[in-house]
Amino acid sequence: MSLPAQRIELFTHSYNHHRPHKLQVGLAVTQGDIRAAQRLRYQVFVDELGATLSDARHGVESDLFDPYCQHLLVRDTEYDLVVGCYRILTDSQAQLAGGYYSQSEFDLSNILALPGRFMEVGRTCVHPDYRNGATLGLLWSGLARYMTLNKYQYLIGCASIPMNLGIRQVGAICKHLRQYHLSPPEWRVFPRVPVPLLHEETTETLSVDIPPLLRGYMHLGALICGEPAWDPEFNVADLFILLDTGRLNTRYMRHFVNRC
Amino acid sequence: MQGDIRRLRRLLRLAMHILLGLMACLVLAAAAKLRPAGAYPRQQAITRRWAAKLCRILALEIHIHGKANTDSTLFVANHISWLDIAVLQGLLDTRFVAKHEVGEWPVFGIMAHCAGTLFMKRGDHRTTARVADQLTHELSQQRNVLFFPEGTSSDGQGVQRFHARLFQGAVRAHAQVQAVAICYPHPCGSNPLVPFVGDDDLLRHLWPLLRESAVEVRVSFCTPIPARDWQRRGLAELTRAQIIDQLTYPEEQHKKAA
Repeated sequence: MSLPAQRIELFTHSYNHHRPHKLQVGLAVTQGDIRAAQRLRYQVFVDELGATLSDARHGVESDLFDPYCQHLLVRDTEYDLVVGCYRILTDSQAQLAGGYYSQSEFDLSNILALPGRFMEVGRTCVHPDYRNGATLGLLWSGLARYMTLNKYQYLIGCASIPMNLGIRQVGAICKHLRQYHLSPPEWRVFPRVPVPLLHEETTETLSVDIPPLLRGYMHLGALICGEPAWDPEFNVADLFILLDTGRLNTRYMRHFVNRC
Repeated sequence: MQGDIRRLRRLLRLAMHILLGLMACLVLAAAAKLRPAGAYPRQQAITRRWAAKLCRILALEIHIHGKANTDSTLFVANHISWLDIAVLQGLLDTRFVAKHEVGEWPVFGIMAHCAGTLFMKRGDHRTTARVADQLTHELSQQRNVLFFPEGTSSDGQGVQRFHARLFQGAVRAHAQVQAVAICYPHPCGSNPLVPFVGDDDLLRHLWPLLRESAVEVRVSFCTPIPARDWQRRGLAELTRAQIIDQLTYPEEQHKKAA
């Protein structure tokens, strides 16, 4: 499924007016676009982060959800290169896919009972040479447009903390997030394979360094909805996050949307 | 009537197979004395074939999901019945850890010794530490070991707490730990004939099983975990959660990776 062409136009915005058309955000239109995103995912998740995916071959990382998803891309038009991507699974498409990706890690019954439309995002990655606020900002502005156009109320998804930070650091990050960004109890989700975290006392003395993407979500006003689930293939602790557009931090968001 | 004939035939085949196993034990013991160098692979190959044949005699219909690691792996599985041992030994080149009482059983004790089983005394920390050391040794020799961290068989309805001590052997060896979920599906949930709990009598347990035309077994290999990233307690909790997840949602496990 793809959006009508005139809608795709709406997502295409150049980032910088002084150097026009260097970075552009837009939805993948052709199979080639999707392949480019899957190659970038392979480069980041498998080559760089060492994920042990059983079915990643020929430098392409894909899964059964891909055909049901929209792929949001940031492209460097100068080199015609996909440098950032997001994967979007809408509520209607999730029904066709037999569920959300997050449901393979969490019991979401409390969340899915909420009224309003859902949109799940995931497989976020940015090419190492383009890891700055600009690329992520462009991706978010694309997401924001998509959400407002299609009237989605909730953005949901898994945000990862790499286990190679060490179990103590992961514990400290989770403790910090639980303290400041935990959802109300009625929005709680339950991990199917919980990460066994250390007892609180042992993490007390650590300084907390939250991964950039997760930190960004929290700035936007997202909440974590419970304990982390362990994803063995990516070797990460996944937190389920929920962003209610009604609670969006508009000042922080404008920071990105205005730049487009 | 047909069931009774089936039972009789199976009983005879079983007796023959056990006799054959005992003879193989003798030959293996003699061979190990003469040529100790090749003892391990020979022992593993024969044990595996013997166990696989045993499963066929008992008409076990084994369905495998996921992929088993091949070397330097500590396998941990949930435990429902002695059938688990036959099934897993038939699928994997691995040594087992068993409670020391098993080594004193009449026929199967000899076979367990012969298959290179590591014996431990429950509740005795000194022998547990020794077995953990042996485990580290085996794993660092590129071999595999399997144990049942529940420490006892359960009725197949739930998975009990995992004992963490032996996981230490894998952490020290920087080995991989792979959780294996085993269950016996049946129209009424899990097969009521299979669980073998506590002080059941082996023959009394076997009797109704021999009458069945087939017994379905489902073995799922979970994603392996590099042990060095974890402590033993964490590994115990993780593998238990993986197994429970497999048992709870058996049909959708391989959706994520296509």
